[in-house]
Order: sequence, then C-alpha cells, then structure tokens
Amino acid sequence: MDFQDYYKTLSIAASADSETIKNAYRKLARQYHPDVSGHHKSEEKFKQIAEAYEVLRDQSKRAQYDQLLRHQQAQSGQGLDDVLPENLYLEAHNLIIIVLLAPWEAALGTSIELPTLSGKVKLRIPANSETGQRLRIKGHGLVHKDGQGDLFAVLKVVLPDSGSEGIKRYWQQQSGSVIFGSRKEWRG
Amino acid sequence: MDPNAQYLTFDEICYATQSPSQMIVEIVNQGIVEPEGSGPETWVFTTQMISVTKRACRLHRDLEIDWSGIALAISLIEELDQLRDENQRLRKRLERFLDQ
Repeated sequence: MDFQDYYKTLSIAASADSETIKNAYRKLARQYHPDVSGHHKSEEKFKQIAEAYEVLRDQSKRAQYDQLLRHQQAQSGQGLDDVLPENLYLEAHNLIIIVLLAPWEAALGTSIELPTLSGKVKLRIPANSETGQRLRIKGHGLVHKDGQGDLFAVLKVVLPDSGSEGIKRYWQQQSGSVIFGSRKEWRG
Repeated sequence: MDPNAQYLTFDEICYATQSPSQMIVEIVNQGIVEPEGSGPETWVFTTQMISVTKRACRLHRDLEIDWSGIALAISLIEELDQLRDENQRLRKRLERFLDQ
C-alpha cells in the first residue's frame, strides 16, 4: 500500500475546514461511487476517497495523519521517532522492525501483519526461521530523492511467558523427545 | 407467488443484508423494494431484493443521502444500467455493420 496524500485525493488544501472536506467528499463520492459510476476503476478510486474522508473527518485521526504527512513530505529521517510504532527503527532510509516470534512460529512458519508508515502489510515468515534473520519488504521505507527505502523485518525468537505451568510442562515433554545436537563440538 | 422461487422473511433479509431492521422498514416505506404482505411480520422478499437493498444501504452510508433521495437515485441508476446495456448492444451492432 502506498502512502496516500488524502488532501490530494479529495482535491482540497491541507488547511481545508470540515465543511469543505465534507463537500469535497460528497461530490467525489457521487462521481465515483461504484453503484453509480460506469468508470471501470471507480471502485478503487472510491475506496481511496472513502479512506481519505474517514481520516480527515475525524479531528484526532486528521491530526495524527497531518503529523505523518509532514514527516513524509520532509523526506528526512529526523524527528520520526515520535510517530514510529514500537519496535520500529530507522537505518538511513530503511525501516527496521523487530518481529517477536514464538518458537513454534519460527519452526513452522506463519503469516503476520506488519505496521508500516503507510498502514499494514502482510509478511510470510518461512518455516525454520531463526533469530537475527532479516526479511526485506521492498519499498516500505522512507521516501527520498532517489526512490524509497525498504522495510526490514528482523526476527527474534522469544520464549512465551515462562511463569505458566502449562508452558513449563510443554517444555519438559519436549526436552525428552528431541535430541538437541548444537553443542556437539564441545564434547571431548 | 412463484412456487419454485426462494423467498425471505423480514428477519432473513435483515440478516442477508447485514442491515438493522429500521433501515429495511425505511427502504420498504420508500418503495425501493416492495415485498408482498402488510407489515414486517408478513412481508415476503424475493432474493433479487437483497442486491437492491444492499445497494440502497451502501448509498445511504457512503453518499449521506436521505431515503427519499436514495429511492430516486436507485430508480435513476436502474434506468442508467438499462441505457448502458442498450448502448453497448447498439454499439456492437454498429461495429458489425461497419465491418461489413
């Protein structure tokens, strides 16, 4: 999903008041509503219009979005920390997100949703993944003059809440059933 | 009523269209769909009415039009659909004619 300039979508100025936003939405919605329009791309266009209106009509969502838009326009990494979700870091124009995985998710693979600056993207974690592995999601980093950086998911396998009795019993069962050969070279 | 056709009760059409009952009552009162029967308890809807009802709900939600406006919009859209179909048919016929 690309970052969308909602003001451009509704063809209004960034300083538009709520009445202007509402009128712009109504006009475009009538024009592009898939139930009305014969335009072949109307559904896609209407979705963008509806998404823009959904955010801009709500004062707090609009304030958050304005902040994100300013950073996007500045195309610079500075000052981004306050808008980045937890576990999301910046490395030049690339975004690094730490993805915590349960051992079975790392072993069997899974599919997760990653938060990015432009909404959520789906990511498939392959089976037999390990801590430290980096998965690249092209084009979800920061925009800069030569293009756009990437998003990297850095995997970290963590133990689930070890205080629980159920989890402890599960590990006890596993400890007898699998031969773990990672320290072979230490044996004399 | 056609014995081979499928019909829905008031509750069933509310469920099928995921719409609150009040909205369905409004759609019927505006004549957007016309079920047989004298009131919600006896109303019988055809399966074709599901798509019209869904369309009315979408227009009401997305375009913020009042129900009488929706009724007008729906009949104009239906007419527009017919005209588009007819236009397409005539264009195809014209293309065949020009090809000869």
